[in-house]
Amino acid sequence: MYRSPLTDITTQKRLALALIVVATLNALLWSFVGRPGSGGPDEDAHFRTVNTMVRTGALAEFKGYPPGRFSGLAIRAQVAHEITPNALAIPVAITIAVIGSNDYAFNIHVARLFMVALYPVTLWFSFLTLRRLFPDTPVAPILGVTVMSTVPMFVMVHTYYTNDAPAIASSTIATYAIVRAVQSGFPVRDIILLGVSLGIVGLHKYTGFLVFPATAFVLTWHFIRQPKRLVQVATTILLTAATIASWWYFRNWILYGDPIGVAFTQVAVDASGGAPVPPRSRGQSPTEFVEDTNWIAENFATFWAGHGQHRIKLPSAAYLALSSLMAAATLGLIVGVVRQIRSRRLGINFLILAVMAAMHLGLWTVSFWSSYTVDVALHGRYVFPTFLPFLVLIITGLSSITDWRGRFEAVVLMILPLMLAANSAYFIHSILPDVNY
Amino acid sequence: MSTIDMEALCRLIRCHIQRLAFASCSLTSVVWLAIIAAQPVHIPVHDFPEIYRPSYTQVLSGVKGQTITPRVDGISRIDIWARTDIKAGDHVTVRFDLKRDILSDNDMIAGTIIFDRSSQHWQVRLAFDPAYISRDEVVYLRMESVLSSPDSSLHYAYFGGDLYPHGELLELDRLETPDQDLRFKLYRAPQFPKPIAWLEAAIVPALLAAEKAKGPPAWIVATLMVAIGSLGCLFVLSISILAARIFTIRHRNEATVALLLAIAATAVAVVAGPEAPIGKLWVPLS
Repeated sequence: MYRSPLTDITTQKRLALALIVVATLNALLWSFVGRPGSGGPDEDAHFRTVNTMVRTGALAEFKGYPPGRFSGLAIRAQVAHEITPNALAIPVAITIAVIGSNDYAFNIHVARLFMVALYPVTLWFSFLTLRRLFPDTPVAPILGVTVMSTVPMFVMVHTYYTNDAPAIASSTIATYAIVRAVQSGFPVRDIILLGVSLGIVGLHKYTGFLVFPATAFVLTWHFIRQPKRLVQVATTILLTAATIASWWYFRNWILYGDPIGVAFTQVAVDASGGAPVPPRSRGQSPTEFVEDTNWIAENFATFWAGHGQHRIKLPSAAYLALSSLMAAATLGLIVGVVRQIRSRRLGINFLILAVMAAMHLGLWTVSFWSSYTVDVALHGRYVFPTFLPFLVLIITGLSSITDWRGRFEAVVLMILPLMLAANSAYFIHSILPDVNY
Repeated sequence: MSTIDMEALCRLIRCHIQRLAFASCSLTSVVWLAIIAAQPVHIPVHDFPEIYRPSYTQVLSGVKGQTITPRVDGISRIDIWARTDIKAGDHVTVRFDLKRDILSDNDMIAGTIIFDRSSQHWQVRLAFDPAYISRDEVVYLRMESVLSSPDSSLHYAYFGGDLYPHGELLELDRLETPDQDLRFKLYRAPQFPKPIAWLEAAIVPALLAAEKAKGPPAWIVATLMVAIGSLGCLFVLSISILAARIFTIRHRNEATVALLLAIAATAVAVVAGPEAPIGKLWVPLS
């Protein structure tokens, strides 16, 4: 009988750790070569909030937009970085206050180190989650970590200062906590872990918030016949998360009269005068909006690569290969789900798969709705907090159409270094000419 | 022959086929790696970012050129991009001159190429002595083409905006339309011989970028890159050993070597593929 060499947990773990170290050092290198303030979308704007915190010694307060701030722009860019939660800005600001200098470049490179430091956290929790979900396919967690280590855009969001990396890390930890709690039947330790991780999610970018309905769904499904236990567990999770995160929303309520801040920001954007009217408000249909903005192609392209302010993409052959892979995985996923429904084996795995699908596809839907009804901003990185669920779906889909044992496992293993090589090629041939220009 | 003998024979044949497969895989990989290793090393020092999409300008007057002012010493190669539409039996002859004075032919180096087929993706590599151009010295790359018939055409890739502030695209040795630039890429010669030159070619562009980004000192960036490279190599070795253990029970050493070489060869093709000699036009200027 075939026995994979990766079944040995030490070998699998060492390989994952080696990958994570390489990926982290690689991200560090990318962070060194990015121009200060323009290493990626909105870096300058995010860092301005940190600078305010360093200067005033307190959390930054939103004072409104200057007149005509969005006038003539194609994108409404409705973000108030002082209102959107980003708790990681606090340790960043404290560190810069302590060791920073008057040199903007030095400070921003220090801030970027926090983003790089979150990368191994995300990778490690992804590895642990995938290992739990695919115990019979020991190469799957390694493949997942490699994908996360080599997709250029995913690397990039960990190399410049923004609120994406903490949202991704906290969301990934929460996803791990959900899987762990479901598999082990919600013991107290896992309930607390889930509550804490949701609290951390609550203190970061809203794109990570789909884990809240996902948790609610999982709890309801799991304790549908035990309403008392459901209330107990839900209350514990809610109280733990609220203890960690609620202060931010109370602060928003006191300062702006709006805990979430979206409506308040919208009013501020309108008050600045001349801001573009959102497509939905000016009567554009969703279809016209998708066609006008090339929404699907642009999001798909920037999900994989979109370096810097100019969104440098991959060669077209790479997109063709990735599209084929996605199509195969989707087909496999459909086949697998139909097979499970027919055999009436809707167990824990099916529940987790449904939750992962809901989280990832849900975030795409939210991203679309936000760009259509509010700000017209579109970028594939907005769904990165659900990159781990995306990987679960892809691996499940591909597992349905082929057996990952034997020689196919060896082939998958051999593809991993080539993915690292492709990432290096993007760095050498796309990023360096851009930053050196 | 008994059944047992037949089984033993089949096993033996399978075993030899497997060894042969590993040997041919190793040999092919080594040949490919040797071809790449034999290529001259040039370090890119100027390129236009991918976000700028070039347009194509047809050579109607017969002469186009670009003034260039390198910011570093030791420029050894200039790449330009062209398209040709050549009718059957026709050809286009292009003479490339690199000179210090637009109007004088003194102290000039030159080379000629003949295009005899159509292509949308010619990448012409002009290679010359690194001592010819000094830093901050203005040089003129002149491209004079002769078409064997008016039915054929030659187009150069260029940019409509002034993306290269240290030179201009000229027509018939004169500035006809300001703020246009030929699409070109500059390389310099490495300061060290191979194999250190490969390391230099890999590290120098990143050092330059880190310096522009006001990142950490060069030695930190260089050490980091060496660390990434070394760990990457160890990772490839581990993968090869593991994959070989899955592929075969008997010839693990041969399999490990074959897989290691195959991965290395493919990785080199992915990273350094554009430097492969296949489909490239080298024009030595002397």
